[in-house]
Amino acid sequence: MRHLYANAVTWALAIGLALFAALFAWARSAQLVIATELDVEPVVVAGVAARVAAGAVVGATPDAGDVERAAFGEQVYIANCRNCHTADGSGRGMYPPVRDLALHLDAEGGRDYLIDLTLHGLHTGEYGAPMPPMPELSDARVAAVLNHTLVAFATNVEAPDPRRLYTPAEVTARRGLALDEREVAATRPPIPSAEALGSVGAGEEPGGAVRRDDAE
Amino acid sequence: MSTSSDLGTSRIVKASPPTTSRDAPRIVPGNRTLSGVVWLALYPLVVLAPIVLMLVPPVPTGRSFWVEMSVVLGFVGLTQIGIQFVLIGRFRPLTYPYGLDVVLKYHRQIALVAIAFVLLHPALILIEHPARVVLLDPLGGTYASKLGIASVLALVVLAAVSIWRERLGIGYELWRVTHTALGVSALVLAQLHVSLAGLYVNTPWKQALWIGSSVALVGLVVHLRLVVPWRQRRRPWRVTGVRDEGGGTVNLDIEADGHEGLRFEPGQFAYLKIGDSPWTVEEHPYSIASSAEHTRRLSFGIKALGDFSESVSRVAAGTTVFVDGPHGAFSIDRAQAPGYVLIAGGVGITPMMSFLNTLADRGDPRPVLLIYSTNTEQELAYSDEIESLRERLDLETRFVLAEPPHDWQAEEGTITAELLERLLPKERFVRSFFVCGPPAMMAAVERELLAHDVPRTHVHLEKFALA
Repeated sequence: MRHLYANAVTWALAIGLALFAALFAWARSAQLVIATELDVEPVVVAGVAARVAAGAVVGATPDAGDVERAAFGEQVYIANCRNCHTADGSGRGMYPPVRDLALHLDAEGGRDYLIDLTLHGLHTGEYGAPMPPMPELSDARVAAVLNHTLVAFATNVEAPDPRRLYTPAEVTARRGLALDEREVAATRPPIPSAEALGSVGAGEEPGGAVRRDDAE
Repeated sequence: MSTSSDLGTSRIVKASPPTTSRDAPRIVPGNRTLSGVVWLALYPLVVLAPIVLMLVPPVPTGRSFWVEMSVVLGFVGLTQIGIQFVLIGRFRPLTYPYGLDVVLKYHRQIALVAIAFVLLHPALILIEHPARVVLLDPLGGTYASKLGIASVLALVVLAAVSIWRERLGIGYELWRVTHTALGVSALVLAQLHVSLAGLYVNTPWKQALWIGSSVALVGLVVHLRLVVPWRQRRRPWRVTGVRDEGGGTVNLDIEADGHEGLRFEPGQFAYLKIGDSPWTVEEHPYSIASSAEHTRRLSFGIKALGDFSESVSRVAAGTTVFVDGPHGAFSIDRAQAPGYVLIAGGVGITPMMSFLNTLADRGDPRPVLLIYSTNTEQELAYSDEIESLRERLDLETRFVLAEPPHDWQAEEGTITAELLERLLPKERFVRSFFVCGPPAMMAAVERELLAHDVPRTHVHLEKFALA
């Protein structure tokens, strides 16, 4: 009898765990588990849009909203990015560094490129792991996390002018595109890596820097 | 041959337990059924706790169904693998309600389920996003993917070596060391993989919890292999006699040296280590043959199957023995009934001897039928002891020989339906049946007993293939 009970427990547990896993996966993919950042999201959407429309210099005189926005971007980074790109944005050589991304903003098509690689993924073959597409991030989150990396990981170059930070509306425009991670890598304009740009100096014409593809 | 326990008591006098000490360690305190239910209720909570932890903020934004499914299966698989370290720890409060043999059987089964979950983890993540195939390149990928691949490889090799150990010709000791090493490697590599890749361990305190749990689980292995032997060192036993019982069965008598011995239920087994060091990997489970009323003197029936068992027959008196036990739940004390039917094949007689000796020492008046089958008359172990027990018990014996001598008066052949039909007592519906023997014999006997209207709950089987 004991052996029969043991068999039954094994079956019950195996099936139960599989069902639980499916339930968990469904709840997560349906965004049923509400992270605390969601409370901030509407503020960011409304706040950034309104202030940019008014031509305000975001961040020049920090107000409560700016602090909240910065915290929101950092939250999104901690939850979704930090495990690979690391707390200091260096990637420890195993993952692409996300430092000095401000350099990309100056290159042709670079502005869309940063959004695209976040939404649709990126696979250049240069690093062991492809960047997974993250369409699950809302427009406000993509904008917030890009802004966070642009500002928080500006080590060798200055952080971009606050007026050039991303707005959720920009992300919305790129979201519908049917791009995969190789297309993001292949069809992008020749944007040098932040490293390559850094090596030739921030003062030079960004478009004239070394193509990363050539360097490979 | 002599009987192992003192037979100074007649069947009329209520037996006094001369070598029993009230101070011998208790088997396990508390209510068996209650603790069995409590552990079972706690189990899913423990298994699912890490998953609940994943939902404590900051939580990463939910990804697609298949990615989340893949991730959660990986975590569920890993926690199940972690649980294995607890299951094999031989913690008696945990295993006592079910019997260690059943816990180990569950260990083998649920480990396969865990490996299936773990294998689904990379498979699903690849199906969802084929570009991730580059992660499978052991030279490419990331630290996380390399560690993950290494962990899965360790698990697959571990499973293959365990399932096909005999076919691969791997000895028990080598297997045991390999099994432990691969298990620890798989857990450590998986933990590193989680630490590096896991979005769900995105805060220092979550990392600390995961790493702390893994360290604790590896610590359980250290506990079982180092701390438990160290404790055993203070409770040595000495060999007092070794006897060939025929049929390759050796009876080993041991006596507690300077401590109160072992309190056990008749029919239980213990792990034995022979020699001066309790840290040896040579450790094997054997059924106790002696009476549970004597805690300081134990007898074990050992079938010479492997090198270790054969070497037992050459052990000298006075040799040190270390005992880890008692384990198992195959016991008449757990199945009170108005009478018993004991069906033994070969060395399966050992736990039956414990039943009979214990019942005799207790002056138990209940009727017992013993059906004992071997190939030849010489292989009937403990036959003299059984004969003398007939004087102290309401014991009926039926020996069944496959190759009987010319003048054999009793049963011939194997235990068949016809034989059981003839031998089973009329009150078969209320008696408890204990069956121990070769797997084929036990399966056949169980089938026949059920066919003869013996309730399933009254049939108790002991499978000795533990490892």
